[in-house]
Amino acid sequence: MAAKSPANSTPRRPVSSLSARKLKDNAADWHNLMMKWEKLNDSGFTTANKIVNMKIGEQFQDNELEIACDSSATESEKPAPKYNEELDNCCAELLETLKRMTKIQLKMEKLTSTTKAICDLETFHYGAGNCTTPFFHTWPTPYFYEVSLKLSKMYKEELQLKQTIVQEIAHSADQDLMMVYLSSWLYQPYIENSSKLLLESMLLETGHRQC
Amino acid sequence: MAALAAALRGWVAAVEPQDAAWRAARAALAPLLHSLAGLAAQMRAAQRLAWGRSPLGGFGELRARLWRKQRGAAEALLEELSGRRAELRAVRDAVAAGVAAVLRLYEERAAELGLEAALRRGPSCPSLAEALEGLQDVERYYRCLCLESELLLRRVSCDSLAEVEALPQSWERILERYKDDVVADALLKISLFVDNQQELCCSLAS
Repeated sequence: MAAKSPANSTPRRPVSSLSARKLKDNAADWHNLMMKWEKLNDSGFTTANKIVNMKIGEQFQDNELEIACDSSATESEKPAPKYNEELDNCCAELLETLKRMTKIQLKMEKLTSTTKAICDLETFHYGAGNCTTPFFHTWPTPYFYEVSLKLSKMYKEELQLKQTIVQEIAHSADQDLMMVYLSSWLYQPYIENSSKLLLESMLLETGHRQC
Repeated sequence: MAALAAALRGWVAAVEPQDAAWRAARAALAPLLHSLAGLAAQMRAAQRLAWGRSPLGGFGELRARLWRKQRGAAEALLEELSGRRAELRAVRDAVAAGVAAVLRLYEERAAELGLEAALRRGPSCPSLAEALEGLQDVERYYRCLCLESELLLRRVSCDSLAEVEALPQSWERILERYKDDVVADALLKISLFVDNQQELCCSLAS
């Protein structure tokens, strides 16, 4: 049932319908989740940077110690590596950040499946491809799902990368590899630049942003 | 002499905010250069890494994706750097125009003033010639530092990462040759002239 609308604008269904409200709420949730993710990314980078600096510091000390020790010392005579409490704390902190990011990514998947459910409901009511009246301005309902799916996939892949980084960063001795871990964490290669545009478009479509 | 003193006073008033803008643009350069150098170090590390033998080997497109993101970040920094360079050039051009105007006025009045008056100095007053020399010192300072910074920064590109990584040190070496006191000393000299040039006129009369 299309609501009355001004002659020049696209005919719309009543925005107060539950599905439209849910889509609007989802758009707001996407925004909030992506902002939280960015904050965690920043704090995670600070922690990862500390870990790498400590590892490099340890390597430097070990090298100096090796030079100072008698070169004929056997493996058993060489001093054992010391437990680094600060390093351990940073690793725990990074792991905690990852856990929080994992929760966010799961919520993103939930948003995507809710959007899919709304599309399925629409198909049930109108038949596939028969409903041409958008809830808001121009987006057909399946497009909301397409955007959610794209975003969800980006964050899922990014999370997999971050999981590997968290597992490996404190165990690497290769400085180039540690630098690549840091860079990968910071620049989030699997979250494409288009994600910001997709989010803003969704917010504009659902009326959270004004033209 | 009074007309020249007035022109110099006006020039000093104009140069003080321009010098502040220059210092702000110059101070903003160092953190940008450090960020670029850090980014270049990351890009070089990614080039050197044996990706296939690392735990990241399972991420097929990672290398290309990371490179694209790093380049994007580098381009954003270069754009900001370009803005700062434009600010430095704007100050250089404004100061040069001001100096040219004062020197043109001197050339018009030179014959009337005479060489002796231009060279006369007092106990607390530099000569007009020294004040004008200060003007030229300031113009030369901005012009040369601007030129050196342009020569350094114009070469910055993602194709020469080793040079980008060395940018902060290269910039420090340039700054060591251009002490800030040149401008402060010249402004002081000119201000002393402007404030005390009456005593030169009195000594001329006596």
